[in-house]
Amino acid sequence: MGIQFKDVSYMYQGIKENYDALSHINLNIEEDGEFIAIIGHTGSGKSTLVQHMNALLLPTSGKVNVLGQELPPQKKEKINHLRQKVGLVFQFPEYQLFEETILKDIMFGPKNFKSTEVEAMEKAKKAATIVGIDPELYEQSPFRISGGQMRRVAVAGILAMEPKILVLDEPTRGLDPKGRKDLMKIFKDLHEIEHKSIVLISHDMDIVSEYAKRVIVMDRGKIVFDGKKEALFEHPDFDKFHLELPTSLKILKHLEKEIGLPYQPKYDFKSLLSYLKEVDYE
Amino acid sequence: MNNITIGQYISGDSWLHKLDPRIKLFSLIILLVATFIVPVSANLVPILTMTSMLVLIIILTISTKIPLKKVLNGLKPIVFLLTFTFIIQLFYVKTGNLVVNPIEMYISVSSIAAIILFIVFYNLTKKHIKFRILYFFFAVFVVFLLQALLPYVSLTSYTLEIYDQGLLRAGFIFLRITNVIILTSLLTFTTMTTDLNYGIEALLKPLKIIKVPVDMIAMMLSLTLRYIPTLLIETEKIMKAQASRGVDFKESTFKEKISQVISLLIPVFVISFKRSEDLGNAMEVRGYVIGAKRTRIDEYIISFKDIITVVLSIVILGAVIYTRVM
Amino acid sequence: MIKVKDLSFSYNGHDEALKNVTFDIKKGSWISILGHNGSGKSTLSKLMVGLLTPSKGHIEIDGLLLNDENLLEIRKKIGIVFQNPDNQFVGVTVKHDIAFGLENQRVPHNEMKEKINYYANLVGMQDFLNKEPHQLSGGQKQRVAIAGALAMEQDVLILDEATSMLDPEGTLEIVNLIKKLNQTYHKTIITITHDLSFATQSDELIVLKGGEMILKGTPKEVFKEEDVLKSSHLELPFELSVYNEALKDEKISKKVVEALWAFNSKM
Repeated sequence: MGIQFKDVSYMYQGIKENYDALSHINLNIEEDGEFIAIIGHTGSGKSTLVQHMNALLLPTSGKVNVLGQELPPQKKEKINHLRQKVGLVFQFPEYQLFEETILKDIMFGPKNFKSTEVEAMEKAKKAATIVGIDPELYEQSPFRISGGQMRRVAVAGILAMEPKILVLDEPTRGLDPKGRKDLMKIFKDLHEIEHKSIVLISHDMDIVSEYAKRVIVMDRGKIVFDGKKEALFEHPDFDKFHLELPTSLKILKHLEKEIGLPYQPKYDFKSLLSYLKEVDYE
Repeated sequence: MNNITIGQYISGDSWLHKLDPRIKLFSLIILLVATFIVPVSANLVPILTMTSMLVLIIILTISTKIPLKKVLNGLKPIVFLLTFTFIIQLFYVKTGNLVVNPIEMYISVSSIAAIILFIVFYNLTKKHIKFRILYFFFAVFVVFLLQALLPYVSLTSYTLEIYDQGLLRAGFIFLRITNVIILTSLLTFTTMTTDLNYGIEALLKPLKIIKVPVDMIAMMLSLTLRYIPTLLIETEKIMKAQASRGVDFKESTFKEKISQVISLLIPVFVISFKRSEDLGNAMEVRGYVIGAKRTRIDEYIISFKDIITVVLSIVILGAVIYTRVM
Repeated sequence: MIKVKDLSFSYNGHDEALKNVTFDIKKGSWISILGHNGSGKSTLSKLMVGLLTPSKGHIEIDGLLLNDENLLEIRKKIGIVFQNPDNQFVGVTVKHDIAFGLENQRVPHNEMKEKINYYANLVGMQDFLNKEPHQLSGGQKQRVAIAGALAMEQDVLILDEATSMLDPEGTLEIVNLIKKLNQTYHKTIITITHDLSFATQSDELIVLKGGEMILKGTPKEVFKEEDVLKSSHLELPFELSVYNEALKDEKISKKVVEALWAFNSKM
């Protein structure tokens, strides 16, 4: 079933002007197995796009179909349930914490979707384990832990709702390198073990290159590229996208320019080093 | 980025825009006092005074080139109050001459039923009507009309006596409230919030003598103005984040709504407390000392036009007092 | 320019957030202080601008000993830009925010106008003087904060995690600005960060762990200690890890290793 966008546009109504935050978007996301990165400059429409995926925003023209539910909905149709099925984690999600204890906060989402107290607690504990929050922290106030831990609690709050599709808006923004690595590993595991589809907005090309399979590039409300990451980063006309290359490719391009090392795209640490070892150069 | 602007400032370069904010604020206060001094009565002189004030104010408005429509929009929120006051005056003033013969008003089963039906009809159709305020007045009129026309199965009745004094007084109060609103709108439309802030600070300065911390109040006001748009944006983000966790004001019970409101309030409070701490540090490091003397980047110079404005306002006040005393 | 000697601080009386930290910073240099969250970096920066009073040790800035009496003097010599772009933006517009420090210093009006225009230009925000903060991006707000600090014409500028909340575009704006300030305008700059790719361009690095200084040296010297860095929860950026691996591996030619280091310095 997944998520489909059919000629979707979203007109943003400002005080001074109106403009198309999204313009004629056509997109298809499978219910499982996808790992998509959405990239583009600030203002390109990435946030607007993903907010359609859990019905926070409704298209001003065109149709979105989320797991069988068509948006905009018919008069009497309820759409709140979609927020449980498509879990959206915003930027700096730790700002959404508010409960007295960490466990209670993680339980908030499931309870809003009619889980009983017992069911919610189970789901919360499961989610807490996935993100690596120790049981001894369950009764602590969410405001007395480190920033990195708060973020993980916030992510657990979404995971506890057991969404089918996970949408993440720059989940690693503001984290230190170790924090970034730890958090991305959680999503990678969710993807590989439970085959969840993950949609990720990121500005970090290294994260895109290491974790994503498919990349969607947005520019001024339109999709200008939708395909495998290799196809993007090895695109003959890559410069037209005005994007940075991931560091591993930058290094390889530098080595080609400076010392004539033959260029072969490698996307992660291991393969890059193996290549440097094998390549015949002197 | 975002389309929120603090305040209602409409840019322009009319003479009113260019006046010193202290003068504008001071003159506003004088003119407001003048409006309230005119006694509520149905006599010729007060009515003339009030009407001429209204004419003066409209001339003022036109001279600022701010569309009259925008100014009148400021009346929208208080239409209800105006109508209510109007009706009260009509009912309670029993002096003067009757305008029409006394009308018998029936509170009967039929009239109540008709009124209820009409109110439902009004609520359903009001979205489609262009001139909402006129439609509202029409609706009020109909409610009374129905009471006059439907005596069937009468429960009780009363006599509606409309006196000319009542009408005049009602009109008078209407004019007064309108004057106040338009005057205040003119101020906020032609003065930037930073300038307004300065005007308020200047006017409060005399209070320093009785040890009121005017500088601190001015700084707090300025910081509040600076942070309102930011807070609005942050609140919206939190609402969206919580909505993504299932918070839905439409589809929830009352008890659920309480915990949902808490899920919005607490994060905003937490953000604000952290902000105060950081801001305090930042201000201290940049040399801010509470109560210490500071220079100011904005310059305000009183010009000839400003003096004339103050003088004219005082003259108007004087004239009004004179007509009252007379 | 700055002398820190045996500096110690404790928030609650027994756990020391900072223990016996000692270092010197030469005028005109760019130092990065690295450490994991809780290593004492923020405590150190707050001590250096007089927001906190040390429990032991002292700080000397340009010959002046930092204490409670001469805070006003000290604040003419050292300024700081914090992490959250929104929580230090005081003014209703860009112009008013840059003016804030100058107003506090009682700078006369005409001089203020000149300085605001000059420093707004320096950071590239001269076309935004009448914009309100919510109309600006994070990077733009931080540039305004830097202009505000520069306008006070202090010799030393501390940037305490000033890019942590920004996106890569914003971070790049700030890094380029810092380079300009240090190389063209010879400002003494102290960046506090957990982002090592930032730090590669500094003249010297200091690494804190658990309140103690565990490493000090040039980037090249410090980055060799990959294990020490790892134990302080600091990750080498990708390009540096590649360099370090290549350095150790004999199968990779020396030319490649050199070129890899050149790449790092270019970043």
